[in-house]
Amino acid sequence: MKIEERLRSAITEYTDSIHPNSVAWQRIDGRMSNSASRQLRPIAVAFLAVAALAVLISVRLMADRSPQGIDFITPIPTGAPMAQSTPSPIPAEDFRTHVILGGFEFKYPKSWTLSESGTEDLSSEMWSLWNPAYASEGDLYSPQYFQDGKPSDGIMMDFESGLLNPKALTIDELLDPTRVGYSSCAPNPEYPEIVVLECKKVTINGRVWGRVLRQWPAGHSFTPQRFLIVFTQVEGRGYSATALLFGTDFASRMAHVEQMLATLVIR
Amino acid sequence: MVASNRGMNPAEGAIAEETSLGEASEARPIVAQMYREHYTPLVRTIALLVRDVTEAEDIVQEALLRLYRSWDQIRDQARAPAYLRSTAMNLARSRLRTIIRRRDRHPEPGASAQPDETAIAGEATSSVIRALKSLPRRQRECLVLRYYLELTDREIAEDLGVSIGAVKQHLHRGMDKLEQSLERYR
Repeated sequence: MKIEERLRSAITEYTDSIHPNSVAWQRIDGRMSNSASRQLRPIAVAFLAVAALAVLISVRLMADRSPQGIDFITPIPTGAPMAQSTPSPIPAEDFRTHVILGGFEFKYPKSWTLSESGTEDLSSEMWSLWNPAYASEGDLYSPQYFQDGKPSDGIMMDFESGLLNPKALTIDELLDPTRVGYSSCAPNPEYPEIVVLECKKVTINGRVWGRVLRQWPAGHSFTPQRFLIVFTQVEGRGYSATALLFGTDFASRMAHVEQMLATLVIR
Repeated sequence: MVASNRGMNPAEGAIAEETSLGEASEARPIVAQMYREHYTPLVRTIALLVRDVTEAEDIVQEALLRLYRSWDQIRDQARAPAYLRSTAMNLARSRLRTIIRRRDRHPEPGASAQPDETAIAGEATSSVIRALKSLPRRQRECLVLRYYLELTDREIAEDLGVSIGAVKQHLHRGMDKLEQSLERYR
């Protein structure tokens, strides 16, 4: 028998032997009822918060009549290979904010969508950021991994086994295409869609920005088909990695890179 | 943490931003219908990906609940079955990662001795299912979606948020590995 037929037949036999619990619906229905009642609480809290904010703003306006203007997020220039054009600043109100595990506040343009199955996972025990980098060859990704509410730098997924590899890698290890076992994470001629940036976090006027230190491949241009793995130096903690994928033009993509890094604010 | 136009699962991408209680409450009969139509096949699918049926049931129930909570955020509601399936797959992955992490941190002697649920089936079936479950995650998912749910390459790619080329590669590699594995134990 051909392997396909053996597999199909085995799956059919195995799944036919599975008879799910007949009272499952009662459980789901009960949880839906609880969920609906809980939804009222945030509405009440939000209403109070808006009211408090309105009072605060009125008091502030009365105290200081000078206009503050619109708070624009202005990117700083990056390293030479990247700075082919000056990205236009995106108004702050065009961003959406998510507070993720570990107290990180993450802002991203409203035109983007969080690529997880809903935002439910934000409250889960472990939220990984790897979905967006699903882009092409299967498990090519490498995002920041959260463990116990803290980002655990350098933890990568083993391509072949799909298991977590707990070894923290340095940027040099990641940039070594000869490394066996991490070829899918490291820059590799087989995966030209990956562009790796090594960035350094700098703080200017209380805001954290990313400055590009190194790029692999050097001077590689970006296309909508490529995604980036941005490794950001975090003082005293090695690197954190973020996978990015862009579908717009170069200038706005670069703006997004900078703003992504810029807005990763540690509280 | 990123937006992706290409890598994003289209079912997930159909999620909009705002929520409202009124619309969520309208979702109940729809979720009930989704339960009737998809619960059993989905539990069976997920059971092929996780350790046991109880775990698969928990995952599918959670996925239905998330569908209910997100109902008013789904722009293209015709894609709800795909959204449900991809949520369940994500939860299964998440569950497996948690288990692996815990096991790596606190290895328990004999902890790997899980009851073999395939034992109720014949030996031929058991060996194929065991080999399937030992495949790398992505290959396993592709094979299950193809040979159990009979999805096309495009549908699998959409469900998993990968390219069609990647699906073909995973199917090919997965089938090769499965065959090798079965040969080894023959």
